Amino acid sequence: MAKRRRHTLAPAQLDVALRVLVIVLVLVATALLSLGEHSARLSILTVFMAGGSIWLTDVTGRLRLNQFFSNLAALAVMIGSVIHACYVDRHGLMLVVADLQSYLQYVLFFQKKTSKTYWQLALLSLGQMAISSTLVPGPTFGIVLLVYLFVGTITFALLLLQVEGTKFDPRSARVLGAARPAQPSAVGAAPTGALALTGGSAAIHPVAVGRGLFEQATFIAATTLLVASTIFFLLPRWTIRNRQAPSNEPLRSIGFAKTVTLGELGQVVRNPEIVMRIQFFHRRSSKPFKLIGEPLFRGTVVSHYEQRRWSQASTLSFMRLSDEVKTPYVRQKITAEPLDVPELFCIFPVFTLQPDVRLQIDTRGDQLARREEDRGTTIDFEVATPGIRNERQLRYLPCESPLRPSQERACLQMPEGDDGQDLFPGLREVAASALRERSISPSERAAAATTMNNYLRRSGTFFYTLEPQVRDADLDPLEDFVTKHRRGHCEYFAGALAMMLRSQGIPARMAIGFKGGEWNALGMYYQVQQLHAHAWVEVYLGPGDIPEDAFGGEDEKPAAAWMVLDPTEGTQEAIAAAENHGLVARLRQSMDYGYVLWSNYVVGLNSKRQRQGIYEPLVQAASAAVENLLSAEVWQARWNRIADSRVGMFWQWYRRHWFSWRGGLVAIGFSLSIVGLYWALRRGVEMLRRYGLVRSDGDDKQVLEIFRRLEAALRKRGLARMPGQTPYEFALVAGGELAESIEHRRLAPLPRRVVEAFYRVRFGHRTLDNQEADAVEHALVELELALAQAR
Amino acid sequence: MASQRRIRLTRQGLCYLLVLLAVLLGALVRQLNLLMLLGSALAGPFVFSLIYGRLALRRLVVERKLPSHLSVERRLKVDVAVTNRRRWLAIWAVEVADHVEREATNPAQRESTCVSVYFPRIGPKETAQVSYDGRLRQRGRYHFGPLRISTRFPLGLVRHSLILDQREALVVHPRLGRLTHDWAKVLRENTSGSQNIERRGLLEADFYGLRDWRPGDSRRWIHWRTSARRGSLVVRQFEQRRSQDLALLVDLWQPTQPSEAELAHVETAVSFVATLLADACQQSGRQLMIQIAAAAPLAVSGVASPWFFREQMDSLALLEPHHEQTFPSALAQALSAVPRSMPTLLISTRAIDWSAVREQMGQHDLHWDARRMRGVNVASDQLSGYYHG
Repeated sequence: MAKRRRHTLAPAQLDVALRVLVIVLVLVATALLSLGEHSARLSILTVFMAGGSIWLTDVTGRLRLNQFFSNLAALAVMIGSVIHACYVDRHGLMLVVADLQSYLQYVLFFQKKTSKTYWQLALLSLGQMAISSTLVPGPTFGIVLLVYLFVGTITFALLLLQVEGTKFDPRSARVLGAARPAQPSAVGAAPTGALALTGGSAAIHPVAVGRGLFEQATFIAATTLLVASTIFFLLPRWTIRNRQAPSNEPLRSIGFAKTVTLGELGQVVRNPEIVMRIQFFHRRSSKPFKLIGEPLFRGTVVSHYEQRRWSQASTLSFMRLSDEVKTPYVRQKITAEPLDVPELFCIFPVFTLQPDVRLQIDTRGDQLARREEDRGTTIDFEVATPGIRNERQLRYLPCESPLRPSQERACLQMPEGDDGQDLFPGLREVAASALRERSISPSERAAAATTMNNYLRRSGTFFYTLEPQVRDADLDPLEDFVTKHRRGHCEYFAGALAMMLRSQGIPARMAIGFKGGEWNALGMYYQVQQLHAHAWVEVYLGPGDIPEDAFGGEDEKPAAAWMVLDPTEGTQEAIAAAENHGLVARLRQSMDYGYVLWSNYVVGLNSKRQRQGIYEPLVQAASAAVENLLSAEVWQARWNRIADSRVGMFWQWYRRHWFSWRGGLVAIGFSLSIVGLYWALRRGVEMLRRYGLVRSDGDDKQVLEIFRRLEAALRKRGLARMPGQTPYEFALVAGGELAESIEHRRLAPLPRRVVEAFYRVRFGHRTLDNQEADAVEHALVELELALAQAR
Repeated sequence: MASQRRIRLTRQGLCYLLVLLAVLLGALVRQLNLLMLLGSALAGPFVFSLIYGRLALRRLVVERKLPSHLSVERRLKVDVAVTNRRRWLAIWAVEVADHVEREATNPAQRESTCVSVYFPRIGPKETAQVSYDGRLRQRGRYHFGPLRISTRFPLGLVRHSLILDQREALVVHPRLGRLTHDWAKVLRENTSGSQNIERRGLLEADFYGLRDWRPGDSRRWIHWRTSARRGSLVVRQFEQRRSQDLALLVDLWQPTQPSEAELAHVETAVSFVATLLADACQQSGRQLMIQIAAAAPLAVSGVASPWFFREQMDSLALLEPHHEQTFPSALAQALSAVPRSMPTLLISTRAIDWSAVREQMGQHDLHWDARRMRGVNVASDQLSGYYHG
């Protein structure tokens, strides 16, 4: 007996587990709050207080605040917080409230624990979670919320078990600090009256509680997740711009700038911070696609080179983005992270399908930018481009009009030395010899540009590297790159190509932006990070320089165009490809996709996104389902499919040949298969019954056995139940017959008594106690023996 | 079996709901997505609680096992078994409450209570059994049911109840006391003179079997039909018994405004009768006659047997006193059916007025002479000599 008791769980044991779980719940909420406050002070203090309270209050009982001192302490804490609140701003006020909740928890820690205390602690921690929701906008909040819910569910389930168990367990008089003695659980019992009844409780095994509650909590958490998701996504949003907590993080700096100084890219290009995510859609399609080849996302162009720096030739002026649709087009859906520059990156040329006041473009259409006030926030926007055909980025960008002479001159600018000396003699010679070798005239701009681009890419003498290189200080870095140290990154390659082209009288400029990015196959988007910063070259082609096949046909040929050349093409890809494989890369992609979902559909869910992403698809799905059910055409199509299938063809054959030996065989086979199926089904049910998976009717059989025996015994005396006669009627008739005989008169009451017992069990759902069962058995045996002798 | 579902928010549930609504309202007004997420996450367990209890109680089978009968002050143990017919899911924190009520014609005397048993966990396809016990201090019929099965699991926010119309009745028999040696002596004296063993021919209760004829057997005992069938003489066997038949006449009187003592006298009288009956039924085959003058008079006669005892105990359990001031004529009339040789015991809750008894007998053309009749007034000290309660 003693051994058995050790294995059953007393409410006092539950109380220990409960205490630990409530503290965990409080700690989880406090940790999240600390994360939002960017300070571990509160967490450390809470750990200290919780540990202290366990030892001083719960284990040793040395320090236990009574109600008066608890109220006093709480009052003091509240007064202190009110005073503190007078000197802080709105954000600070929130932190004061959060701190106040923690201080009140500390007071509760040192009280005697009751279910009320646990509820108060849990409610305060809930308040902390609410405040944290405004302080921690990242996915961390979601993860911690899940943990909080899981722990909370187990905690409250345990609390319930403990409270209910305490009511019924006489051992638990001191559990929860209840002053009342173990009481009989009879609700409304009247011990002094006619009724003095006491309830009871079943024992429970600790392992069953632990494992069972974990299972239940998992089940509840899964359901909660489903319900919470449904409610969250269906709750109406009525603002386009969802309120979002201001980010405390500094704006990111990237490897992109309006000016490029050679030699500086080496430090920033490896920065993995995310710049933007971009998806491509065909016109009105909602299915994203991946581009063939690596896309070049242009931020800006620089054409002026002086003192190792590339910069814009003149100050740009901006205007609203055109909404004139150019077909065919591809939609670019972009989420741009906060940046310290206004430039936005995409595939050019661009226009908008819906006017967006946040977007502006420079008057030449070279640079897309966001408003100054939007620099500090993540913005989502959508632009369209005709620069993608057949899922491939075009290498020629159409110009609205030919360049003015001044603009063309700017694209031919080459710096000179202080005394007018040529800074690029070697570079000119290399460019000229490259053309000479191919016998190409500089006047054939496209061919000449391609030749020089190939020279840098394929001559085998130029090497791409991100490592800083030793340069000849007496030479311009580009001259040094082309003539002496042929190692460098994209800016050297692009700068060298631009200068080589200019040296041959071909207008060219450097484009700065990002190349490729990381394709996320899960979310079907490109994730562009700072390390994807890139520079390439755009060569101006006049009306006569544009190749015939550049735009698909003579009709589509624009007045002028920019030819895109990337002299480092094929070198960066190999490095990127190596980085994008492996488990870590996939994990990174998954995490990033999770972050994207969180940002777009949790933190950034607004009325527009809700309508587009949730309401409209739901309505569409519902209407499609209704149509599928009700449409005659759909059913006709289904019927046709069945008719065309093998089953349909077989049926057609059978209809033609049913009265033949083959048809007969089919019919026999079909009948046998039905019989086989029935047999297998019965066997299956029997197996299930054998293993206890399906309820057997054995109990009923036992009950029926009583009446069966009575009938059998009476039948020996010629007494049989008439059709439609109830067992009771039969028993009365049989009793009357027996009473007629002096020999069997003593047996007369027995059938009625047996049937009454049978009714109690069969229809009253009662079981016979031992005495009753013995009496029934005795009566049956007596009847069986007596009537058997009579025969 | 009819059932009725009920759902009720607990105090904690109400508090939780208020917090939940406050969070959701704040989130909606301020359009704070993360606060909405928190509110939605809080709504999850609440919705789960609303659904879970309903599902949890659906496939539970509750069975109450009452004893077939019980005597006053004996320990009552009622087993409540709950079967979880689910295949996979365990059910937690189930409380089964049973309503118990004593039947009484006077509504003021009705008493009721509700007693609960608790099942912390019932595993899938498992039956758990818990008992409630106690004592029922008055004889009578007690009604059990309906059963209310409820759970607040998982979070204690919502109480789901299912009221099962499983009603049963239990008859609580009168207390059985102990007869003294004096009573045995009185009984012997009453039956003296007819102690010799009788073989009373064809009385139904005496015939119990057949045996082969032996020299000395009376010819009257021969069972001719069987003898003819078997070709040898077969005689009937008769039970040998002493003439300890007993007739009990009970005047269960009580004034309309009874005192505590008068209430107790009725219970004592019933207990005394029950004890006499139990004693008489220990030896089966005795002829017993019982005539009780009560609110609903009782008149039975039969052969002592466990079944007879059980049936008469059920009747005694439900007896209620009469309020007639005169000696009940029914008792006097009942004497006409009592053989003169049968010992007769008149039990009354008041002093017995023998002259009134004779007078009543005279009205029914009965004579007092030669009757072995004895009277016991339970309100007097006379009873203590025969019986201890």
